[in-house]
Amino acid sequence: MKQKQRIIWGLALASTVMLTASACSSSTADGTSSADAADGYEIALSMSYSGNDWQGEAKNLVLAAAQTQPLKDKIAAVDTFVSGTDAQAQISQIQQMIAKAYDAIVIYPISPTALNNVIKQGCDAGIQMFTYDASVTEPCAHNVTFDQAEAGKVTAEYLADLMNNTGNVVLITGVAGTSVDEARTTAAEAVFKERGIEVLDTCAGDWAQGPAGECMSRFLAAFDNIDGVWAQVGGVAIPDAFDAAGREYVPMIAESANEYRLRLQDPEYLAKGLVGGSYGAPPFQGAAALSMAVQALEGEEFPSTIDIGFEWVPQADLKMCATGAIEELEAGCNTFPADLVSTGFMADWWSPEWTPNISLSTLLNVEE
Amino acid sequence: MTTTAPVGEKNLRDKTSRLHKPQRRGLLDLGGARGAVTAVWIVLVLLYIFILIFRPGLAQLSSVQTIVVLAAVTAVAGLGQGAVIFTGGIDLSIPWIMSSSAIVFASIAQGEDGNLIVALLAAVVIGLLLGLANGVGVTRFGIHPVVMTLAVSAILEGGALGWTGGLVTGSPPPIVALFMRGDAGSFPMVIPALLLLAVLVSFVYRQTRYGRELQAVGLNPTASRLAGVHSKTIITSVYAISGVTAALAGIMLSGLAGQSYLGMGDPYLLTSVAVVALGGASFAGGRGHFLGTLGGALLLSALITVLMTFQLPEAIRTIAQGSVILIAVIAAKVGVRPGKRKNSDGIKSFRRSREKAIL
Amino acid sequence: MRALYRPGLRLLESGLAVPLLFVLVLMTIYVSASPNALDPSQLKYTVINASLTLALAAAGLAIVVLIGGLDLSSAGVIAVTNALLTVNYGGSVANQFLWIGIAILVGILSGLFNGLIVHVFQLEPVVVTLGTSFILGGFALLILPKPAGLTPVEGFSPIAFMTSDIAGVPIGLLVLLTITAGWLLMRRSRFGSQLMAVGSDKEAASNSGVRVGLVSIGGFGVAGGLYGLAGIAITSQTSGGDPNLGSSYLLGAFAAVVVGGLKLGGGRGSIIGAILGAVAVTIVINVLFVLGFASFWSTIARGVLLLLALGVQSAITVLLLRRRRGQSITVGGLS
Repeated sequence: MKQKQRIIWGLALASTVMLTASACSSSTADGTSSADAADGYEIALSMSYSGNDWQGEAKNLVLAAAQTQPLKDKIAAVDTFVSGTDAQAQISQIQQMIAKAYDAIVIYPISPTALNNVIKQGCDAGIQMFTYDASVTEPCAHNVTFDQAEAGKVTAEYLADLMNNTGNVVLITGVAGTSVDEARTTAAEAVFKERGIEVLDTCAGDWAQGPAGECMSRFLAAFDNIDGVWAQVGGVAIPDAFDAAGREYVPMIAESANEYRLRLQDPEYLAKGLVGGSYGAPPFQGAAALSMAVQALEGEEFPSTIDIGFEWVPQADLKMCATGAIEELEAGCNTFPADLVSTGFMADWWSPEWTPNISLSTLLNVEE
Repeated sequence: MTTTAPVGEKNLRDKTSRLHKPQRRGLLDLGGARGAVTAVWIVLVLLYIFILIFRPGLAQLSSVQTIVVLAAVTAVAGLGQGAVIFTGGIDLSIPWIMSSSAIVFASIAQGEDGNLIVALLAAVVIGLLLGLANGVGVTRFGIHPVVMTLAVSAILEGGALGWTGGLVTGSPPPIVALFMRGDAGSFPMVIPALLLLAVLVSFVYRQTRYGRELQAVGLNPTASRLAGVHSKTIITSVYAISGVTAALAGIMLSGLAGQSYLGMGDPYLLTSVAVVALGGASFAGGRGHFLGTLGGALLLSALITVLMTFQLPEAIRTIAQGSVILIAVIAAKVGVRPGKRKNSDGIKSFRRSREKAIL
Repeated sequence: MRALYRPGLRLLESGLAVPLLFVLVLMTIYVSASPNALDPSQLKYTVINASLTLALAAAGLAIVVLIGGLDLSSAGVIAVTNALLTVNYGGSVANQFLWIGIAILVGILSGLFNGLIVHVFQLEPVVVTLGTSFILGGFALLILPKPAGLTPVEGFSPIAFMTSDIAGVPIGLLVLLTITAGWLLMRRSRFGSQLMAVGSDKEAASNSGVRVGLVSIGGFGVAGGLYGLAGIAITSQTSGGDPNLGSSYLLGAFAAVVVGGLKLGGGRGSIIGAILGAVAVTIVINVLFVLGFASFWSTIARGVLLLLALGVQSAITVLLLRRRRGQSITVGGLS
């Protein structure tokens, strides 16, 4: 009686699942409350993709900001929701947040256009809608971001200078088909064209070390006349690819991964000729959006795009921190010891304006 | 192998009796897949000649090395996928088994070579258990492979996100990166390892009882069961193999990338199926070989790199990949078909009834 | 009670019981946890519009599954039609309808292409649609290199209309009902029964004179058209285009089809099941949200939902078979 066995197992599985589910359902919402405020603003954090260092850091900074002054007494809770790469899921979740009448919704949007309708619904319901890093085109939303095109331009110019305005460059971009990637890449390409540097090829690095390293390896196999590398993410994998191919380093631009910054200051790598600059989307944008959302709830007006700038660090301006305490951060250190953080940790997370009371250890030990 | 085999039962009896009388066949006896596997390697050689003429820079040893190393991950993932497809199923959980194993690997290793053994064991065991879960679901509960592996994949995805909270702590030990990349242009160990794997798989496939039983199950599960083969165990085992190879592929990928992160396995869903297809496997089961998959992985990797030298936009490269897959499977079918028609009239109706069963 | 027996039985046999049950259960939980869930505008947004794209994609996949194949190209067609519309839609009403028509046509043509290759070369649909999905994805990226909004339209816009409502009735619901009606008609037509015959047993169908090739190619074409509609739906839902948005519908459509009670070897099931399955898969997100589950549970829930659906479906199948004594109990499964 195989069938009977099958049914029994199926029902057993079903009931186990349901029991586990109901047991777990008691308060498994990932949210955080400040220690004392019983009343205060209820804020929702809607994240789309959350599977990389940057996203995790940005989220933790939002939570840490809500748990420290000056926001601590004003916020009752920040509830986090992750929707993954499915735009519909993020739309549905935001609709639920609107139904639950949060005071403000801070969003990392999956797409600049897909959420417009639902964001409009939120604005109409009187909820403050703020996005961070990636912008949306809906006019009523407030986009906390930085000038992506400027980032592409400034970094390309620095690289062109390092290359003495001659030679060939390869580009390792982000995820193809996103406006962030497009803005940065187009600006960089314009600079190279202006300076007379030829772009050999571009490859989608997908904002992750793995694909970026693969791109670089293929480039090294395909071309033997590479004089510079402009990348959005890949600071760890790109030098590794050069090492594996037995080729000498060329000037490069990559993101603010801690390991990359360490190498730029490491005598061993410097001896091998590692030269470059470090920039990136600052993870504190989320915390900034939170802060502004609270101010907006208190009556302040904000324009639809708020440029909070980005940290662009040429090699000479890199500075080690000892422990990541606030005084050190205030003094301008921007690289962390390897044993405190992971290799892909984004080192440009601190800002005197938006995260003044968050030290490295606070960030790393945030409670969900 | 006879061209005018009598149809029906006698044919069947002959084939099953061969199970118990091990014949001395060469290591490279690929059975029905011979035509297609040869085809993919011929195309690979043609591509290499093309590179020699038009892009000599790519033909150098270091470039070839890069192409092989980058193909290695896909090839290993394709090994498991190919085994599953051989039995008429498909494994959609490979990406998340890769990611989960790699994450566990990195978390345990914490970047220390000393932790390699423990981390490796843990990651492989996880892959094995997940694969076994897939296999048991498919054989014991009769769940369709698409459903079972899809469900496991979804549960893994949510579980991994929940367990890590988005941030993966720890990193793979440097020795894995060394294994994958070599050092200062020297030969990375992954290449000989890959060759060894190919030899091992060929040996198991042809010379061991397990391999022969696998072939029987792939070709005709009903008849093989009647002949005494434990087809359920065999099928469960291929899913377990797929889980283990996915874990290994994940570890290899983390070595290449220098870190583990959520979603790192996602590109390998479609590419693992693609390389198996390029290798000439039949998705109804019963025809396919790792040598074909390996050839397919190398072909795909070489193709992507060659396209890169032509400075085509990403979109064109994707279109080219898809077209190559289509052309390859069409060519494999057209090449194989004339030979097939003569052979197995009696087997044909069995095979067709199996075709319905799964894919 | 007696009167309900026969139709009840028919319901169980059709495979629709499972998705219907799941939708009812989930909706009940949803409504009880969230007071204004039944509010017409809430229903429109969180249930109908939210599941519209997936439902259409799942309906298309269902046709291919009924023939006995698997289709990996749904995401690609959605991406291409979405891209085409984003770039070209606008202007006069005639132009708007023209491009909607072109979008559906592109979907049908992709489907026909798939079906042709599958039939002429006797290849498995999985592998062919794998290849075409790459090709379509590449074309989508070529047409629309980065996300953009639809050109704003003065006055009536059929695409925007698709996700709005008339007197509280969501248009999306009307679209799904139309598809359902179309399916019921098709099912009763010669083409429909031939489709089911091919899915059940290709050889027997061929021996009975069914033109297997034409029927399968036609089936793929219909599926492609439905994917095209799904692309229109997502364009409407997001008022724009994004080349990266199609990918999540691939596996979601499979989940919807399985929950919808369709048999993955072909020959049994209904588009209605796929649509209901899509609704179930979508509102699971809502349910988890209002119950306060952490976000990562939604993917786990999808996996569990799949297994549960299959389990319940098996139970029903066995019960039905037991009813019919004298039939051998060899439920189609693997050896």
